[in-house]
Amino acid sequence: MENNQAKPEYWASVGLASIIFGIFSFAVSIIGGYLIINSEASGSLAMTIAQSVIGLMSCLVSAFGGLLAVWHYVKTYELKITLGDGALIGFLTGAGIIIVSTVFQEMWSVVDPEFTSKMVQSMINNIEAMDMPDQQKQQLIDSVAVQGDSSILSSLLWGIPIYGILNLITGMIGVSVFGRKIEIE
Amino acid sequence: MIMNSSSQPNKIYYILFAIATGLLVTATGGGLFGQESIWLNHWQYKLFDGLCHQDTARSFWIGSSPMAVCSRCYGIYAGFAVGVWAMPLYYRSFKTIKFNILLFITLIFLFANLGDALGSLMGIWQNTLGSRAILGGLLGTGSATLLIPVMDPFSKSTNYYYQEAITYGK
Repeated sequence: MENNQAKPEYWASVGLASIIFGIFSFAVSIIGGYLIINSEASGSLAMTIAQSVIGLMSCLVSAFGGLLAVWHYVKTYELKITLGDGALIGFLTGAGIIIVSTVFQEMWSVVDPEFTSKMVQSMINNIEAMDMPDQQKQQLIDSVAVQGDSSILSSLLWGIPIYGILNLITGMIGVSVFGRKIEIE
Repeated sequence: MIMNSSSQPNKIYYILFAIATGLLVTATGGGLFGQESIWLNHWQYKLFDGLCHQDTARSFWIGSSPMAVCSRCYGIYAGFAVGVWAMPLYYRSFKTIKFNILLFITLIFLFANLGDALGSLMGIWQNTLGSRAILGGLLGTGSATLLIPVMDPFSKSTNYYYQEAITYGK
């Protein structure tokens, strides 16, 4: 057996998982955004249960990109994979998910140019209805307004590390789930 | 099937240890460090934005700041960290357990979380900060145990893994 056989590129697996989970992440964020826009200002930071479930889906499902990418890689090429390979594939998939999601969000801003401003306004209306000191209220409003103006670079800067790390972990778990340990001397 | 392993030190466990600890500390939020600005400006809060709903009513608070993630997510990160930290203690006994059993138990924890959220959505029951954190913690710890077959904290070698139906090399 040749140990040093060149490994096939893993970009196809990374790309596939990135696109699937990137689109899912985008869809969840858009649905969540419209839930906020269409909700009445309750004066509470508490979300509706539907919003929370959407958030739970985003949190739990977006982390599974690494699993899918490792499964696809191992299944397609049937070759050796180390824990480090799984971690790398997972990290790259996480980065890919946030890139795809960000690109789709930018495209959505063409479909509905007022999406972000409506969401920010809805959140500000909600904060204004809150029972809290004016100074703290103003701080919250300023922060929400700044978040609404965040750039693509900012989204990538914050998103890539955390999505990358979570999918790095699931990529390692993927090696465990879809791989089989071979004997080593 | 026999394969030579490279003799490079296995540092992956220690890297994972650092990652799990870092995630937990970050998820705890700015309150842990006494950051005084409004929590929306905390870097920890921004980091988890988009990954967690960060509903302040469904999060633990430290001082005047909510944690950077909701109680369920915090449970997941805490449970995973505990699972990784304790791995050297339970590794030898857990590696005798069939992997499918560990996987099955973790899947039960996963569906318990989904069921808990749906049950709350449908008004069947009302979950609490604590119940969500505990269910999340079980899922996090279960996930850490899934690394047992591939993560030997005591190993100094790099192991290789194949897909089950492999015919490679024959």
